[in-house]
Amino acid sequence: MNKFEKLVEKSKKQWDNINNSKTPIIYLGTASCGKAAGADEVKEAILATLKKHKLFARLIEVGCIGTCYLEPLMDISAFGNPRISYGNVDAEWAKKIIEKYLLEKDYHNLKLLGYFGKNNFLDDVPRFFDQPMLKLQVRIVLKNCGFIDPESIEHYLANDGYQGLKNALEMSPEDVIKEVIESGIRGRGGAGFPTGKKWKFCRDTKSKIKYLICNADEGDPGAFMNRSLLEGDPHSVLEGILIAAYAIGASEGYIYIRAEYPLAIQRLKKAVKQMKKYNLLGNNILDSDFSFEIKFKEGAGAFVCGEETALIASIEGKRGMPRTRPPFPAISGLQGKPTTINNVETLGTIPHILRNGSSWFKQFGVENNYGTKTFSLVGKIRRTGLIEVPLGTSLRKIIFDIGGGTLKPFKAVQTGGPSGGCIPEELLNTPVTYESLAAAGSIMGSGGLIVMDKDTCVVDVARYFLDFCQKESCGKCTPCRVGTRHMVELLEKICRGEGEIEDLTKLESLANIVRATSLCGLGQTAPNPVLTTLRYFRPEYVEHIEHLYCPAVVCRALIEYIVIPEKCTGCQRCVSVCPTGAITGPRSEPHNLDASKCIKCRACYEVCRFDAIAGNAIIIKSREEK
Amino acid sequence: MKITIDNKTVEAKKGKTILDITQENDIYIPHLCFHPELSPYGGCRLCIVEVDGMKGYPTACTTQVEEGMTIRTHTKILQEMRKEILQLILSEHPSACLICDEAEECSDYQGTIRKVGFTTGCRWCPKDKDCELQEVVEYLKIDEIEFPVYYRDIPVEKNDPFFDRDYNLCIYCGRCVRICQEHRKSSVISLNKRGRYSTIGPAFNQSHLEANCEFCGACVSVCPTGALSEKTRKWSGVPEKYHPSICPLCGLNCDIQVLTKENKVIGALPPGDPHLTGGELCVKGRFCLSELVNNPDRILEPQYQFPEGLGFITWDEAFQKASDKLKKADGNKVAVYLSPDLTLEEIVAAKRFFEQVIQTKNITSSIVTNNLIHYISLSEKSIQIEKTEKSNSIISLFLNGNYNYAPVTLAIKRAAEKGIPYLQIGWINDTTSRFASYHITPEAGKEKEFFKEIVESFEKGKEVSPEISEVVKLFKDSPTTIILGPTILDLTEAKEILGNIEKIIKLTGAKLFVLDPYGNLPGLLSLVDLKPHQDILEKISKGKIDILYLIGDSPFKERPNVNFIIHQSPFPPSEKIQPDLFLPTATWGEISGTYVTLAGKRNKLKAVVKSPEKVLTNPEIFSKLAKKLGKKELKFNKIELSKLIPKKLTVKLPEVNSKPTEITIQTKTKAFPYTLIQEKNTHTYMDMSLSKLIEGMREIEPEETLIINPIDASKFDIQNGDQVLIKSHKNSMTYPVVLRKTISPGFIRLITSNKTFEFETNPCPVRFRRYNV
Repeated sequence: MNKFEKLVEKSKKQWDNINNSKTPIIYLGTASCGKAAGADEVKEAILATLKKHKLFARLIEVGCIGTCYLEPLMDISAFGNPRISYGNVDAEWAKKIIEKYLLEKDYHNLKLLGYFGKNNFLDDVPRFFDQPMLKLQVRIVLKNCGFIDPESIEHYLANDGYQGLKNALEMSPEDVIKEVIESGIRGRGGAGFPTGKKWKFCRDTKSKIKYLICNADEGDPGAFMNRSLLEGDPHSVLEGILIAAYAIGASEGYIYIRAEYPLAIQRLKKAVKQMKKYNLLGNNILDSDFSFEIKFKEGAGAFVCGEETALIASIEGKRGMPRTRPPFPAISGLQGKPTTINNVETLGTIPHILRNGSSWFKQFGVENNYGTKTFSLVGKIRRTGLIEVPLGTSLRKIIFDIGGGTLKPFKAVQTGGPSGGCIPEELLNTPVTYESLAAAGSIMGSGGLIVMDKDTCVVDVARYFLDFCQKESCGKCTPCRVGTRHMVELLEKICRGEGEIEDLTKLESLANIVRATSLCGLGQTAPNPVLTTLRYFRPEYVEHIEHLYCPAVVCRALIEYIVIPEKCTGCQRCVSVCPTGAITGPRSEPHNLDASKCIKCRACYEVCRFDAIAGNAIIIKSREEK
Repeated sequence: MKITIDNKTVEAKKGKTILDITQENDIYIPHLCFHPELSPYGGCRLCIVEVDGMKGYPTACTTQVEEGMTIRTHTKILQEMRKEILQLILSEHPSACLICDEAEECSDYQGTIRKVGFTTGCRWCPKDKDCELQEVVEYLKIDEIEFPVYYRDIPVEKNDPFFDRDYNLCIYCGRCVRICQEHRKSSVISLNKRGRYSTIGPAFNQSHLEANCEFCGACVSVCPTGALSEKTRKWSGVPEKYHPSICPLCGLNCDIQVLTKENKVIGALPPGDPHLTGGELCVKGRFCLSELVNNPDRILEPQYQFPEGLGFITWDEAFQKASDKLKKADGNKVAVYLSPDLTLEEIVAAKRFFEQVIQTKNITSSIVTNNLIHYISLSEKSIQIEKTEKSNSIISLFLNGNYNYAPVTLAIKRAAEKGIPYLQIGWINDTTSRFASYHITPEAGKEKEFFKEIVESFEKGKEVSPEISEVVKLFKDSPTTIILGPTILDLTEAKEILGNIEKIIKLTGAKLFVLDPYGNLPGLLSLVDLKPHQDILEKISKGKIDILYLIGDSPFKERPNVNFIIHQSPFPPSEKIQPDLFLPTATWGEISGTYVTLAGKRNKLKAVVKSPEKVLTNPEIFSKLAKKLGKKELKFNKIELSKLIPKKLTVKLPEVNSKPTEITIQTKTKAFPYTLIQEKNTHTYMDMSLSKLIEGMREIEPEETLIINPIDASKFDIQNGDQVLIKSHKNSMTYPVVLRKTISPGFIRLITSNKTFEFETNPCPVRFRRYNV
């Protein structure tokens, strides 16, 4: 292991050099989320500013720290000060901040968020992690995200990287499995099967060839935990893959990743190259007997390929279609060989367990639900982003304390993506554990939390999620292919205001059939949004049916657009945007909206609120409210 | 082990599924996607059961039994759920008739299926009363569909030959996809798209023909609904009888069952359960036979060439005219041609008639050429197909298994799938090519040298090219099986190539399987001392023949210089031959008799329908003619004829002319960069090309049409159906063109049913371009 230790030493030196560097260092979050928020322009501005002032500074591109609402994030460490973070930086601000700080040593400005570090070093600046969104988090998996350069294996090595693998290789595979079982970690992909047990099944199946598959086919709308981790700290997942492969006795692994994650793929591929260079991949890894190769398979964007057996079929080059289990992949998986499939986050957690031991891991979370879980917090929430909390944290804490609550009154939260359920306010004290979420009719899922406020119509939400599942159904089994279709049509009928009260019974009975008789997880969980919304928000369905009233003012057929004559100044902005000519009227006089022509495209509403002189002169109302 | 099903303890074998055990114990669980020949699918979800200790409702077809399992198959909740699931299926399937109050009365009033473009209910469906969905509906007693009914409104696909596809009726059981992949190993079709838009078909909207479909019809056989239907059978309804017989369309003599209704052959299927068996038939056995018997081109009355033209005559007149001519004729001046598709009984009848009544020894068949004799002589070492799968490696030479020899191609594919190396030599990409570890195309015009090099590497240890060394390596891993296709017979240097192959077999101990394209060639060769065709041709050219008597054989492109031609066949000959007398005979399906294969196996043909009124069998004609010619004592009845067939049949080969081939073959040059391969159509029956008789065969194996690889065609901006001018050193011709991926780039196929080729050599270097009128 000498070589490895030397490598670590070298990396640590490099890392220390960065941290104690006299040259200023600028960190820029350039994960997909950062890029979407404009990090690329910021990068250009940074480079241009440095060039303009002939400043010498180093730019390090890092992953996402999780505070999406603050993107793009730019940190600067200079003059012996700790790293100071700025949020919502655009090109102009980047220039301003750099000029102020690097030329005038003035780090204060409007965009300052906080500094990183343990000591109260800068009295006039708060600590970054004392922000409400971050203070309550426990970051294990996301430890490195946003701190290290994901494209540098040295950064990872300097931060205890591959220490877990080293420890594992010094143990027997059986002991590794024992340690993982002991830690109590459960699959983070959603179903929550104990990871160690899964490995043991595969280990116990006799076969010369075994496979390990990393499931990076994150397909839920609104979920980006895996992407952020892969973009921000690819080596942690790769280390987890090596440990898992060593434990089960696999010599070949696949990373099944969505083709829609080009940056993650690029970074993973780069990381794999670096691993090969340092003998962390290939033959006799770290001079042990363990040899392993990693291959990539890009998924073509099928939600069902998140299902183990469909994923395997897809890797085999077949149509991504599930088959019934048993036999489980641990017995007969890829090419009929024993296969273990683990989620990205599970694999990202494994190195930490092997590094620090199972008892350390067990201090987080609650009984049977140890460790932490990442969630992507999205929807009508103040602070959107990627968070990591110990299991057992209540939904209320996550949404209100970490996420800052909603702008308008809270209505519900959808956990587990389209296959999950809608949980109402009454149940917000539910701790986030596999069991309690299931009891509430939902699932843990891979960790999408979609928050809805009173402007969200639950019927519409159920329709949306079910429509997603219907469109992603592979078509193999009847209930999922046809059953969900009928359910979607029933929901559409209700949204159109054509529903009948018996439809709810039909919907429920269909949902139960689809849930009970579908072949794979996709069909079995597809009715969850319908069943939970029917369970917790039945009155809203009834309102739609009996009073043709959509309380959230969403369902297009049940709402109308009205110009309030008292407020309208006749600025004609709405007249110019209306695509159908429904709004008419001379300048400076209240306009007239012809409901028969109106297609409810919302253009006038938006323009009136943001662009027009009067503002709010056009309102959307549920029909019955009139 | 013991398991409990519905409170009854039954014995079960490990590895079986719950459905297997219930079927063994006569417990019916409804199912639609299950198929005994295919891997479990679990798609329709009708066979859900309750198993103690298992979550949810596992499907019986996919769940293997375990010791002590307790299973309930017919609880109230299961039946309720099955009904719901079936209703879901029916909500996507035109099911008006299934739930119609008048269904029963209505069906009594309708004698035939209404021919409609769209099927909206059972009464308009080709599968009515033969439909598995109907059975399940009846069992679960569905009389109402709770859900709105969707009609998918997909256009019915009718553009491919042989079968139509109405995916509006499809229930996505996936049987067709699985039988194509797992059983026939073709993988032409797959489930496409997702959710409610799921469809079945070849990828990327290709037609079946483009996707290299073999048209084996296995998908049609296993379809539980009317979604897939045979073009020729779809309006015939439920067959009345299923007769075991054999297919006469190649030397493999595959077992089939012939479907008949009201004295009409309506179709043919592989043996086994007609609804389930994927079988091992090729397109010819599966789809062509009914079209052969019922072919509108058949002539059903005798015809005579009057000075003023062709006219129908009665049989009496016909016999009179024939006997008038034959009576006067000198036996030595009568030449007889026999088809290799005649049954043993027909052959002995002909032999008796011509040897004893006409007293001629000029009996031949147009296929008896030097090359064929050489080719068949190799077959003495021929092995059985089943053994192919057990060899260490397989090499196919000039095999085109796309539309024939299905049992052989399947054996190759199965073997290759098991990991046995398979090498394909030739220019055709056929159904086995996907399984080939190597595909070698010898340099065009140098085939002889290619095989010579292999021989020399064995004889003298000569250094060989890397390509050939792959072949040599395989041969060294004996036992290798060589599968030899008849395309080789068309090559100019066939004789030399066959000679080298013979040497290779001797040197390496390789086993050989010779593919015989004719129904009963071994029978013909063993019963009659045939003269080589060449000898008879010489006699004709020297004016030594007065009368030609052709039986199911028309060896000439134009009328030869003879006095009188009698043509006796189910199908009329080419107009150019202008026979003086045409005697229509019964065809396969109307006669019973025996065929024999190269391996010596005798197979029974069965008469499954009566022949048309004015059509006679060959023995009947001989019998009547013999009487007319004063040989009353000669009997031609079945018993007499079978006595004439020896117990042991040995193939007797005529003397081979040992002169080497004189024509020199040229290789490709810059001016003639492409290679034309001319092939005699071997898809024949009684020397009648199936491509001429059957529209579907015309589409898949077009005659007098250039078959060009799309890559080559694109270089000249040539589209399907264009006229193309093709030039060799000595000749130039214009043909229509079809683009097929089945021919390797650089090669062009030209199939003909003429007995001679248009271009000087085979293979022949050519160039081509689009012909602008």
